Amino acid sequence: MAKLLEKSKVDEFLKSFGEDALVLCPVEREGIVFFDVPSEGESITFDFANTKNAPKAAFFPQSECMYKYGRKGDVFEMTDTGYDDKPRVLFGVRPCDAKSFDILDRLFVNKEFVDPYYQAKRNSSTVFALGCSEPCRTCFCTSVDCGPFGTDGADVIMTDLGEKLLLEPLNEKGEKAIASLPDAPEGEIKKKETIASEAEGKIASKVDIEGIPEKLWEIFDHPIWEEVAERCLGCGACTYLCPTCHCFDIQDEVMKSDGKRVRNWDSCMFPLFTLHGSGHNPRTKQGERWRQRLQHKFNYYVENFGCTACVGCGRCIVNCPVNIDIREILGKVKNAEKVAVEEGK
Amino acid sequence: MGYEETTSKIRELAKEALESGKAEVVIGFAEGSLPGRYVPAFITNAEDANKLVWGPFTENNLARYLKDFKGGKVAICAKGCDSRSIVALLKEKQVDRDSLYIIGVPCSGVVDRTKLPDAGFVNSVSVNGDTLKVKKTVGEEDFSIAGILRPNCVVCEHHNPVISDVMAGEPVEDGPVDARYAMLEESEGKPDEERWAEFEKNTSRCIRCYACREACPMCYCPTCFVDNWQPKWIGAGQEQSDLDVFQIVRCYHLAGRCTDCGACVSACPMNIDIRRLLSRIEKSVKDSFGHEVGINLEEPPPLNTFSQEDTLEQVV
Repeated sequence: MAKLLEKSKVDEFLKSFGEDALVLCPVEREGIVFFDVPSEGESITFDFANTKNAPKAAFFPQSECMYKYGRKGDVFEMTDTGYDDKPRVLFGVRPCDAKSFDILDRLFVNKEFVDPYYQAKRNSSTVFALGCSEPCRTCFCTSVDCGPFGTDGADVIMTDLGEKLLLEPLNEKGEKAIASLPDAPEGEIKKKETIASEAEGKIASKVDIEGIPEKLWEIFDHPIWEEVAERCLGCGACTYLCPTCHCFDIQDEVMKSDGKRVRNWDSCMFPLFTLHGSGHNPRTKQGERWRQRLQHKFNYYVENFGCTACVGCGRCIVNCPVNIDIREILGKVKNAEKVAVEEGK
Repeated sequence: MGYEETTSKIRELAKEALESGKAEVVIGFAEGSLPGRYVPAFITNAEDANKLVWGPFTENNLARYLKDFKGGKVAICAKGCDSRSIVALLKEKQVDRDSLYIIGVPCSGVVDRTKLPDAGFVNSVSVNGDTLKVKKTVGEEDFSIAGILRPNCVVCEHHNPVISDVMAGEPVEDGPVDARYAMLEESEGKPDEERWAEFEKNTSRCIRCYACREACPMCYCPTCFVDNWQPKWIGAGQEQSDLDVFQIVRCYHLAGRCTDCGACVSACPMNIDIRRLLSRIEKSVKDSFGHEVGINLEEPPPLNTFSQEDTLEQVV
C-alpha cells in the first residue's frame, strides 16, 4: 500500500526510527551534496542530482577496524570488536545506488563466503530509494540493467511530488517501515506513474554493452588498453566514488604493544595494488590496470556473480581529473578487432 | 590572440614538430567528452595534430606526463605555470632539456569548473569572445570568462611561459607580482585554533584518492611517503590525523617547488583547497631564500642547497 509523506514531516519520520538508529541521507556541505549522517544543524536536501560519494560506505566503510590485539606482559591478546549491527535508515538513495547494494550483496554475502562486517550493517538497514524525475546527461543507468525508477536493492521506492513524497513498499521490511504513514490517494500514485515513465525517456546517454563480456576476453592483448590509459593519472577518484567498486586492503596499525587490523578501500588504479611481497608487479603499466578495471566490472563480475558491476551513475566520468569516459571506452571495446592470443600466454 | 588562432598555431607547430623529427610525441589538449572539458592528448602522427585544441579549459598541468616519456623526444604545450614546472623538473634533473621541444602558450587563465552548472545538466559550453555560453538542459546561462577563473589563475603573475622553444601566440600581459600570497592575509592575526579548524574542515573531506598527487608534476617519487612500509609513516585510513598529515607532508615536500598551477585543486573530486598551506610554505621559502619557483634555471633548488650565508632561521 503506497503512502504519502509531507517533506516538512520527513525529519519527524526519520526520528521515529528511534535514537539508536543511524540515519543517512543527502546533506549539502559547502556546495557539495554528500550521502552521510547529518551533523548537528544539518538537514536532508532534495535539491540534488546525485550525491558526490556513493552510499556503499554505509555497509562497506572506507576504513573499518576488524579487530584489535595487544601484548600484555607475556600474553598476546586479541579483542573482538564485534560487528556493527546498529539499525540504519538510508533515506534518499538514487535507484542506481540502491542497485549497487544488490550487486555488492552478491560478493559480500553468498553461499561460499559471508563478510560479517558487511552483513551485519546490511541486514539491519532499511533502504528508501528516491526515483530520479530529472536524470543527468551523464547517467546511463538504462544501459546497465537499471533505470531512474529502478527498484533493485531497495526496500521502499520514493517519488518526489514537490511538497510531498510518495512511498511505495517493495518488500515486507519496506511495508513495516512505512506502516505508520497515511495512505496515498489514487491521484498521487497516478502522478508517480507519469513521472516515472517520462524519466525513463529522459535518459539521454546510452551505451550498448551487448556482447561486451565475450569481447573483453577476445581483446585481452589488444593495444587499445595502452591508448585508453595514456592520460590516466592512476589516482583512485573513479574507484572510490564508484557505487560498486569494492576492492580493499587489510593493514595493521600498531603503536608499541597495541595494534588493530584495519580494512581500507584500495584501488586497482594504484600501481601498488598488485605489488607482490617479492617485489614483482604483474601490472606495471597503466593500460594493464585500466584493462583490469573494465574487465572486472564488465566481464569477471558477470561471470562470477551474474551481473555487470556498473550502475551507470556517471560519477567516474564527471570526477575524473582528465575526463576519461567509460562510455567512450566501452564503445571502443565493442568495435575493437579480436586479437589472437599468443601461444604460451 | 583569440583561442581559435592559438589552436591553429598549436596545430601548425605540432604538425611541424612531428614531421621534422623535433618530437616523436606532442603532449597537448583535445576536446573532452563532457562540455567545457579538455583531455590531455598525445599526438604521434602529424595528421592527428588537428585534434589539438586550446581554450580556457586547460586545467591539467601537462608537465606531469613528462616522466612517462623519458628517453624519447617530446613536444609539450606549456602555459605559464606548466613551463615553470618544467624549469623546476629540469633543475631536479628529472627531464633532459635536449629531449624537450616546448611549445609555449601564453595563458589568460583557466575556468573554474566548480563555478559552472552541474555537468549532469549541461548540454554544451562554448566560448564567445569574453563570454562562456552554457546551454543547460533547461535554459541558458552566460558567464564572463574573466569572472569565473580559477583562484590561482586570478592571482597568477607569470601568464607567459618562462621557457620555450617556440611560442604559439603573442605574449599577454603578466599579472601582479606576488599576488599568490595575498590569500595569506586572510588568516593573519587569527588565533591558531581558528586557522587549524579551517584547515581541518578542508582536509576532513579527503578520500585519499591521491588525485592531487598524481596531477602534480612535482610528485614523482617512485614510492610516495604514504605508501612506504618499514617504516610506515602514516595510516592509510580515514583517521583525521592521517588526513591532516598526508596533506601537510605533501605540501612540505613541495616547498620551493610548487608553481601554484592549481592542477591539484582542479583534480580533487572533493574540492579541497590546499593552496593556502602551499602558499604559506612557498612564501616562507621566498622570504627565507629569495627564491621563486621555476623562474631561474641557473638557480639551484633552495632546499637542496646549502650556502655559507644561510642563517639558522632560514635553515630551521
